[in-house]
Formats: sequence, structure tokens, C-alpha cells
Amino acid sequence: MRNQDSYSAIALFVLALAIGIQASRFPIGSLKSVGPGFLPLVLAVLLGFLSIVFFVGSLRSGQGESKFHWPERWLGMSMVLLAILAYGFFLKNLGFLFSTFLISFVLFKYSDPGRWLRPLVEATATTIFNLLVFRIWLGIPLPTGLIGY
Amino acid sequence: MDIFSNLAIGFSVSLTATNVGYCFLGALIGTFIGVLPGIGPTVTIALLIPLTYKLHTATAIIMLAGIYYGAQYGGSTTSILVNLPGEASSVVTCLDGYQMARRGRAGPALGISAFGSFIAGTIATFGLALLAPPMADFALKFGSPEYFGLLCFGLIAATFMAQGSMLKSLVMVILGLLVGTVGRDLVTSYPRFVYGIPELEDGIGLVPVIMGLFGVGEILRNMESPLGVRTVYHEHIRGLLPSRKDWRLSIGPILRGSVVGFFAGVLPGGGGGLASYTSYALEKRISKAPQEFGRGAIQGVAGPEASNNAGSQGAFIPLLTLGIPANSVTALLVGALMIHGVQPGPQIISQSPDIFWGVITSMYLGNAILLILNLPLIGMWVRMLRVPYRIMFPVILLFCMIGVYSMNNSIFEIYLLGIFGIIGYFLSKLEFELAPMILAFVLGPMMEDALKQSLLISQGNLMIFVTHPISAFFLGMAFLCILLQLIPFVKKFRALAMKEDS
Repeated sequence: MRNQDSYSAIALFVLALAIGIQASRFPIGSLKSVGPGFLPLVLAVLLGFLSIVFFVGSLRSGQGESKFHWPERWLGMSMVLLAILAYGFFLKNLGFLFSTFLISFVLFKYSDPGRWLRPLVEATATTIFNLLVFRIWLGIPLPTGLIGY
Repeated sequence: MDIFSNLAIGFSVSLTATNVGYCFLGALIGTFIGVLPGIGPTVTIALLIPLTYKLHTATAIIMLAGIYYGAQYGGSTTSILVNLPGEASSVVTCLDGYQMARRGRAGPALGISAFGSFIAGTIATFGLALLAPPMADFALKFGSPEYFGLLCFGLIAATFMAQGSMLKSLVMVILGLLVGTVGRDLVTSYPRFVYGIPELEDGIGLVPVIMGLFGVGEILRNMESPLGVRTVYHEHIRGLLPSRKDWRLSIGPILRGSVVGFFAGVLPGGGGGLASYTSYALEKRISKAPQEFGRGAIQGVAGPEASNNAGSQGAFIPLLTLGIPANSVTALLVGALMIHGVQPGPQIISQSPDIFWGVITSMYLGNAILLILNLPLIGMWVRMLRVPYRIMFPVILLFCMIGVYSMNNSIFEIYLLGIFGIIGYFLSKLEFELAPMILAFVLGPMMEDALKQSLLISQGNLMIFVTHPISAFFLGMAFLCILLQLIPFVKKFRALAMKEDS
């Protein structure tokens, strides 16, 4: 196990196995009338085969250290992913205006921790901008939520 | 009908005041978003597609053309001024473009890239008008087995064109095909990989996939390093017009680049990256002073930029005549065209010639507008480049989320955006190419359909793909691509084995 490719190959093999098991439960059909499970199953087998070739290749070529490093700074990435989760949740429940302002404020505040006014202004501007583009110009019905907007 | 009367039909569609206005707006916004740090051309186009929803078909297509060229040019600008290629097609521009900027010649580099693109666009528009009708005639003969062969060849060729390991690209193709199988099967409406989530029944949309893989993935990568201010080329940019000497050096590369790029663009996965790289290699090879390349040779900017542009035009040939996108950008355009009720394919040229020629001429118009728009506004674009990432990433993220939501009013697609963001982050960290995956994702459903239809016709006999000559030809080509890829692989393999022995 000498480099990132070996790990990628193992992950791909596991993925191929998982997909293959699921796809084998779909109706496969016959060559005369191909069923919905046919292509996923063929692809899973191909992926499994390629991952084995990939694994063998990685063992032969990979002598050096892995170039892949787990990120040292988790906070920013977690913030981004949490923001996506939270936005989906709030958009439904609290409406477009409030959730856009809230999430953009949190992100601006994260990237500019020393200040309050600047993130507030930036979040307000982002909210108004998106309101103008999506609601007013494109006329897309965005969730209104509690506040009515 | 000859080529000029066809183009006249097209221009009568594209040259109305409203349409020119929207093209202008598209080019403006496209460049505006395209030069912002952290957004490449593909994401720019994905972001801006919602802006065309409410427009009439012709106007929407023209605005898309503007966005397309604006985004492409934005990519060149960041390559030259910040040494940051938005995507593969701009990598080559960085080599000499950034060096020119460092030597105080950013102006002529930006200028020749705009002029070169325009000249290439002119040549490629004629090429397109000349080649598309006979190609469409030919494509009308295609049945399911032919399409299946062509799609197989297309996907294998895309791994051939991709950078890096062929094995990894093949893996990406298979992953893309698998993502394409999610949703209800078209014939039996059997739910595949749906897990009881109603939003997955219609399959996964292209826009959340692209925005996630490229847009959010890029944000996640950027969050790893401190949110500092990037070093932009700070000096004032003067003299955008290339000198007489610049022109003398550049005109050959531009003309050669146009031809090379156009034909590279026709190949699946060949637009952009392959086009610009081939042109650069060609110019370096035939140059009398190859040592100048990489140190700010204007030929190294003019040729690839022209080639890249001609390549993006060439990619319209498979798109408009076969209905097959050759890269992720044209895949997005197919999606956008279909929203407006235009189904690209061989019948479009006879059924709605106004749309067909309108698309072609509007691409040219977009190109021309870009030239008028960008050179005077370069000062503004440079200021855009200095917007700190601290401000950029929340704005991009919110816009992506609302944009994705607005396509289907679906909260689920926002989560999908996040999931593909994580996938994109890991794949690019592990050095897997995303482009073949996108292409396979788009072509997958077409391919499955062609496979099923063919086997239905032949009553389950697989020989149908070999007995039909066109299909056999494409499958042979696909096989050849694999063989060609294997040869250096075998060589390297052997070399390593030998090393281990000694």
C-alpha cells in the first residue's frame, strides 16, 4: 500500500461491488429485450475489473510518498458544507430572504472574523442581488416561509 | 441553397436589435463572471443558463452565445494576468501569456488573443456552414446501431484526449455512465438507484452535477489555504493593440491554429484542451526560435487562443448534426437548447433552418461583440480580478444554490450540489479528470437507448454492431484508440519491470 492510487483503487472496487449487488436485483432482461439492470451490471463489472487493473498498476509504479494529504484546515470546508445543508433546510422553512441573508452573513463573518459591519453590508447586498436576479428579473417563485418573502 | 444564403438566413435571425442587445449583455455578464477568481468557463455558463429562461428561443440562444464567448474570454484573461487557467483549454495560454504579462506586454497578449479568436471564429463559421449540411445528410442515415458505435467511440476517444492516466479516465467514463443510469428506466420505468427519493426518479440534472463538481469542488479546494489576496499583475495595462511586428509573428499561428483547432473540435472531447495544445506544439516545432516559447512568445498565445476558439466552433458540428455534445460546455448548451424546445440532431437543419443557422451566426456575432466589448473594458476586468476570494466564495456559493434550486424548485438539488461538490473535491485531489465523467453522464442515456433499440431490431444478436458498416467502423476506431493508449503503457510497464530487475 504505497500510494494514493492504491487506496483509490480499493475504494473503486468497493463501489463497484456495492453497485453490482444492487444492480443484480434489477430485472436484467435478455439480449432480445434488455432490462433496466443490464447496463448498470455491465458497468459495475467493468468498474470492478478496471479497479483491479488500477490496483496492480499502482503497486508496480507507486514507490514514492502519497501526494494526497487530508486537508489541514477543516473549518472552512466544513463551513461550506454546513452552509449548503443549512440553506436547504432554512430555504424551505424560513423563506428565501431570511435564509439567504443568514447563510451569507455567516459565511462573510467567517471569512472576515474581526468585523461586524462589513459582513452585514455584504450579506445584505448578496441578498438584494439574488432577489433582483431570481425573483424580480426571472420571476422564479422562491419559498416565502414565515416572513412572507 | 449555397452557404451564403444559408448564412443570410442565420443573420436575419441573429441581427435584430433585441437579439444583438441580449448578445451584448450575455458577453458582458459572461466575461464579468468568467474573470472572477475561482470560476472557470464551464461553471460560468452553468451559472448563467437560468438567465435565458424567460427569453424567446432565438434570443435565448444568442444570449447563450454571448455568455459562451464572454466566459471563454474571461478564462483567457485570468490565464494571462494571474497565471490561473480556468480549465484545460487555457493551460497553454498561461505558458507564454503570463510571461508576456510579466514583461509588461499584457496588453498585446490580451489583444492578440481577442483578435486571434475573432479571425479563428470567422474561418470556423465558414467551415461550419460548409461542413454541417453534408454531415447532417450523412447523419440522417444513422440508425440505433450506428449511434451506439459512434457513442462508444466518442467516450473512448474522450479518454484518449484527456490528460493524465487513460485508466483513470476510463474509470471516470464508467462512473459518469453510472450516474446517468440513476432514475426511472425509460422503457420499463423501473426505478434504478432511487432509494425512495422522488426527486431522483427523473434522474440527476446536469446543472447540479457541473456546478457541484466544478463550482463547489473548487470552493472546497480553495478553503484549504488561507483566504489571502492573490497576486495579480499590478501594473497598468497599456497598448492593447498588437504592433506590426506582433501581427507578422502571429498571423501564421492564428491561421494554422484555426484549421487545427476546428478539426480537433469536431472530435469528441477534443475541443479546447486538445485544440490549444496541438497548436502550441505545432508552432513550437516549426518556429525558427523555439527557445522563445515559454518566455513570452506571442506566437504561443496567438496560435492556441485561435485554435481554442475554432475548436469550440468545431464542437458544434457533432452537436448540431448528430445531437451529440463533444465536451461539457456543449453538453450544457444542449441542455439549454432543450429547455427552449430545440432538440439538436440531424433533422434540425431541415426542420428549423432558422434556428440552425441562427445558432451558427449568433456564435459568430458573439465573437464579434466580444472584440468590441472587451478591449475597451479591460481596465474593469482587471479590477474584477482583484476581488478578494473572501468576498467571492459566499457569493458564488449562494448563487450556485439559488440557481440550482430555481431550475426545478427543488431543495433536494441543493443537497445534490453539495454531494457532487464533495465528489469533485476528492476526485480532483486524487487526480481524476472530471471532463470524461461529465461527457459520459450526458451521453450515457443516449447510449443505453441506442443499445436497447439495436438489440430489439436484431432480436438479441450482438453481431448487428459489426454487420452495420458505419457502426463497425466506429467500434473499430474505439478499439484502435484503446490499442494506441496501450502501447506507451506497455512500454512504460516494461521499462519499470526492467528497472526492478536490475
